[in-house]
Amino acid sequence: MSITVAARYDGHSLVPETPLDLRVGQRVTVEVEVVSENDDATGRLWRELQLDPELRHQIVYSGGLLNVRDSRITVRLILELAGAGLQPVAIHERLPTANLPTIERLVALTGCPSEALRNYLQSQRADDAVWFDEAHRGPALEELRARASLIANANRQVPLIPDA
Amino acid sequence: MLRLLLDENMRAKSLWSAIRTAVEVSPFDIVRVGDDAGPPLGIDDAHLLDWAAAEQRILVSCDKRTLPSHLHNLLASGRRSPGVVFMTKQLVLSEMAEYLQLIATTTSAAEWADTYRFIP
Repeated sequence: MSITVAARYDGHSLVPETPLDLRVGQRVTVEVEVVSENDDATGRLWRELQLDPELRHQIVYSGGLLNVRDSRITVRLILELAGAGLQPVAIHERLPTANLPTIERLVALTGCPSEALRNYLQSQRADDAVWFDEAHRGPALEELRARASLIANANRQVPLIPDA
Repeated sequence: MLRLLLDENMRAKSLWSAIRTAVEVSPFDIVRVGDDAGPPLGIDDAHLLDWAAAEQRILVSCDKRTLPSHLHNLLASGRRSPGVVFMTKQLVLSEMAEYLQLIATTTSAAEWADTYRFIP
């Protein structure tokens, strides 16, 4: 069995920030991944999700991301789709590798968002502002359609049999 | 013609169906994360970018995740990338399929290489 646990180093021991399903005296091995200060909002939400019995084993916190276990589906994407008005079943249709009960539980959290959840979403938007600027805007669909039309016209003008 | 890789967050059956229809009309090369010909489900961002670079496929995702920062790291290490495209949620499925087809058939590798772009 392998579980991920948030912990804080107190100078002597690693102290878990959430309860563990372990008996006192249980020996374990520990692999340490340092959490940066920038990950604080994500980390706080993750710790909150660890207190939810329906989510604690379904959400993985790794590499600065909150993912649905065994998938590349992020909590953020599910929350964004919920924020756009999609119901859990519709989200599951879009993201079939995320299980429906996990999606349902996450969407339910948006009904009365906690401070940790609000801070997390705010931090994600702030991160977007850093990376997604006008310089990284790609061509619009209409522009690509116009290119395709030009290419098609050019191809029609090429004679099938070259002039002698 | 450019080759594409669809991220795990774009595995909706309805989208794939629209893409297959588009491929039948005008063939282009596209695989998904989780397909036999693609990288495995659950792969992390850094390894996914490595896979896409090795296979010379533009990665198409609809989740901003940490891909830009990992792409930045990959380029800083001196490696190259075919690029990353972030699809907007504003496009309907048929438009997404059309957009992917047009990327593959009307754009050049240089337009996407070593950068990421989001689709308005």
